Amino acid sequence: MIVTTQNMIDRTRRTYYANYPSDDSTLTDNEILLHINDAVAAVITKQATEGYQLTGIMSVPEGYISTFTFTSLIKDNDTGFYYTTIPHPPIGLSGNSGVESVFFSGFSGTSRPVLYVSPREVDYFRFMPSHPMAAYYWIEGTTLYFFSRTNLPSTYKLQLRMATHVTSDLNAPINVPPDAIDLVYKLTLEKLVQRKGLAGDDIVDSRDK
Amino acid sequence: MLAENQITRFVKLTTLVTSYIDESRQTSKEFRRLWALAFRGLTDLGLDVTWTPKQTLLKVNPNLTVDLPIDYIDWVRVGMFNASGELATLKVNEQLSSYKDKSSARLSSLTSEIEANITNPDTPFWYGYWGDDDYEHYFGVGSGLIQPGECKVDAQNMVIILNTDFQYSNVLVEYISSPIMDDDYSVDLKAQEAMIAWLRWKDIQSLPSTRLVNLGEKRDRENQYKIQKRLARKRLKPFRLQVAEQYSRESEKLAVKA
Repeated sequence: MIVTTQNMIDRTRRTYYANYPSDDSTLTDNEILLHINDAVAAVITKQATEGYQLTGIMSVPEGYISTFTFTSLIKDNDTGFYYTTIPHPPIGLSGNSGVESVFFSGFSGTSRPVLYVSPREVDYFRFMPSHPMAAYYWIEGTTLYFFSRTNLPSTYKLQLRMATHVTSDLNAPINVPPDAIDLVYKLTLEKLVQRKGLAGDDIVDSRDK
Repeated sequence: MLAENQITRFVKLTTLVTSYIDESRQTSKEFRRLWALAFRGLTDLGLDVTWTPKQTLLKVNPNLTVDLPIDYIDWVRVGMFNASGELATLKVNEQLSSYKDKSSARLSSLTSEIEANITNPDTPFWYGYWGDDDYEHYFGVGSGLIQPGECKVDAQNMVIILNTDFQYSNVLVEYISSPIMDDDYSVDLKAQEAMIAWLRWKDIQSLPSTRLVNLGEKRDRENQYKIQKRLARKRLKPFRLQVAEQYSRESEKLAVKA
């Protein structure tokens, strides 16, 4: 059975309340989703790190990868850099493995990869020998910058393949490999159970018990 | 015309960088750094092994110097055409002065205060043996080759200096030129493995030995590069029996043994 994010939310809530939640339950979908997102990010890191220990190669399992398309590429006239906003900061894996690749589309086919520059290389990479046909990108938080020696045609789109722990469609299959779903579920529940176990002042009527 | 998928004589630098990324199971995120390393490797291999000298005919300036081409890196031979269409070399004379060699007044600035012919026992055409109408031998002067003039390369000022009584209007220069990139640099197929071995070595050379690599690994990769470089040189200048036989036969002669 394909598991959607909504399935995960419902399953978590049902376990949390040990049955179907009543109408006055205060645990919202958004709160559970927040914990699921955090759990997915933690599981990505765990699986990538374990894979690295086995193979010596840092890479994210395919099940977490999504491709995002950006049509709004803005040029900053002060710096000459283009930029666009990405859905979330990349997952902070070593070797900058949170992002798989960046390339252009919007014409017949795709460009060669836009070359990655780490933030510590931004100051000097343009003064080094470099491939003249290449464009370069780096990321600061949720802003993806890129440098191109030529002006980009307005029809160009930017494609970003990255590991993602969020979804915009709760009814779409969750971006988690099947073998990791149980781990995500356990981590999510662990956070919620901790919350449930916190001592509180129960003077408000109908507070969850 | 080459057929589709036919192996070409030159490989793009990008292809070699990508081959190494693939081999070492890295990602395209390392491409920028590795391409910059490969560029240095291109120079290292080029200067020692792969860059083929090219010849160009240059005009002699009125001040008896020759401007070196803009893409000059290092010279191999300086000379002129002989009657057989071969390159006849000039004598390299490091004593030729580079004084005012960029000036049009170079020749008039080189006035000697020493009596003529004391320091120069040669005529412009023959060295050591030729007098006015017969051969004579100057004691202590080597025989030399039969060469039509003298030269000295002043790389700093990008000129070739010729002797002050140089008689000709053109000089043929064989030199290593800096490569020009079109869409990418190209590496001779025979040096492909040397370039990849360079990347293997340089990729880890500056990593502290506490991180992933040890000193032995670094030394081993360096040695591998040297082996591959030597192999590339042999591939580019292979042993050919025909040439070897020629050298062997030409070196045999009847001569008085001193």
